[in-house]
Amino acid sequence: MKNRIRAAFSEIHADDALIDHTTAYLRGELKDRRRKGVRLHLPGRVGAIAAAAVLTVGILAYSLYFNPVAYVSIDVNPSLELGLNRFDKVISAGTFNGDGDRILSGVNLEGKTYNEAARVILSVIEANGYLREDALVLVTVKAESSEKEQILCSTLQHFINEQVLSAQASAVVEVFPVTAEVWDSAHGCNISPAKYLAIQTLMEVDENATIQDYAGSTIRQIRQRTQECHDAHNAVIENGDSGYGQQGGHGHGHGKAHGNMGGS
Amino acid sequence: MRSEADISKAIQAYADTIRRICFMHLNNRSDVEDVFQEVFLKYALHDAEFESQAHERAWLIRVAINACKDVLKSFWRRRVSSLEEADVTNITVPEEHRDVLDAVLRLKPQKYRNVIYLHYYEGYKAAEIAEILRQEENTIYTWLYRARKQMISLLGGWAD
Repeated sequence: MKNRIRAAFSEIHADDALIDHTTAYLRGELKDRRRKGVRLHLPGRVGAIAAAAVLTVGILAYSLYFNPVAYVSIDVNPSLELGLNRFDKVISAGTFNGDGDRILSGVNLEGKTYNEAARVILSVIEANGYLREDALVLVTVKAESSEKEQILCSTLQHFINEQVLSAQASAVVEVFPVTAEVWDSAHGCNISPAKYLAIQTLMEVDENATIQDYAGSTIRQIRQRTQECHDAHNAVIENGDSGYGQQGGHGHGHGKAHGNMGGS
Repeated sequence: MRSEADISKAIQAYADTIRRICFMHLNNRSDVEDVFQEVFLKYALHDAEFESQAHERAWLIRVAINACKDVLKSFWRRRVSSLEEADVTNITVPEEHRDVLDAVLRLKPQKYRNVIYLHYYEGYKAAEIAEILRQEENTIYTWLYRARKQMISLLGGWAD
């Protein structure tokens, strides 16, 4: 095997274009650095201190603006997430699935307020036919403080309800905060926090379900499957099977099963 | 800052090594170019003398692995998990080597790819890999054991 590994890796070489680009980049970068290095001596110590002060202020302002302090994830079936800075402006936008990619391609959300970004996203989602009458719009929020989460949740709930109404759709809108632990775990699985919670709820009633199995399903499908498992358990209990009766109590986070679910 | 001649010599000597490390972790050409630029810029700005050529090589390997890790820290970067997903710009992989390279790229977690490459291709011993990756020697033995086990399962054996 050692020989096979050696032979296989021996086929991989850096091509000329890669070497040429790297050489050209280094030539320019080092020339620039040498020139800057020489200039530093000319204005002397005062200039250097002033430059350092300007740089510090610049870095501080940059980090204040570009440091994300809250995340808003939106699931319809397109699944995407916005990173917000402390001024409630969008500084990053990413997706969890191909539908999300389609929604974000061609729109620039950076610098917009979260409400404005949500309006743009929902209008593109509607234009792409995802905001049907029975659509499920799930929004999760993670912020540095619970006060901030409450403000974001109530503002987004109101705003998205208005958007759905004006689109003449009767979608169910749910907005809720998630803990940092849930957010981290969801990101570790490359799925949205809302989907992660839905799968966790399903896993409580279906011992064979795994995150991997349902990562590609819509939340509506996951909830429908959860409801089916509940129904099956209830049927067993009603028929007097004491084995299932022991597991009757169930309740977890936001994954409550909805009765009005159709497949999406 | 090193001279242009020194830098050019290093690029010629180590470009293939850095390319192989990038191949194991990155799935697009622009990330590969970024890592190349970062690695050789750090080399150019690294004024301390290397004790030997082996020391220089190990240093560059460590910088390249860390540069790839930094690129992958971004949540939105998709991890390479098969040969199909790897960036093979200007690389032709012969049919007879595809299964081995594909198996290496399927190793999870990604650190297992590094130990397989460093041990079986570069010929480093566990203690030397531990030095490069800043890990305990025993940890490297464990990683090598688990990586081999995964390779055996992926390829159906370990024979040549």
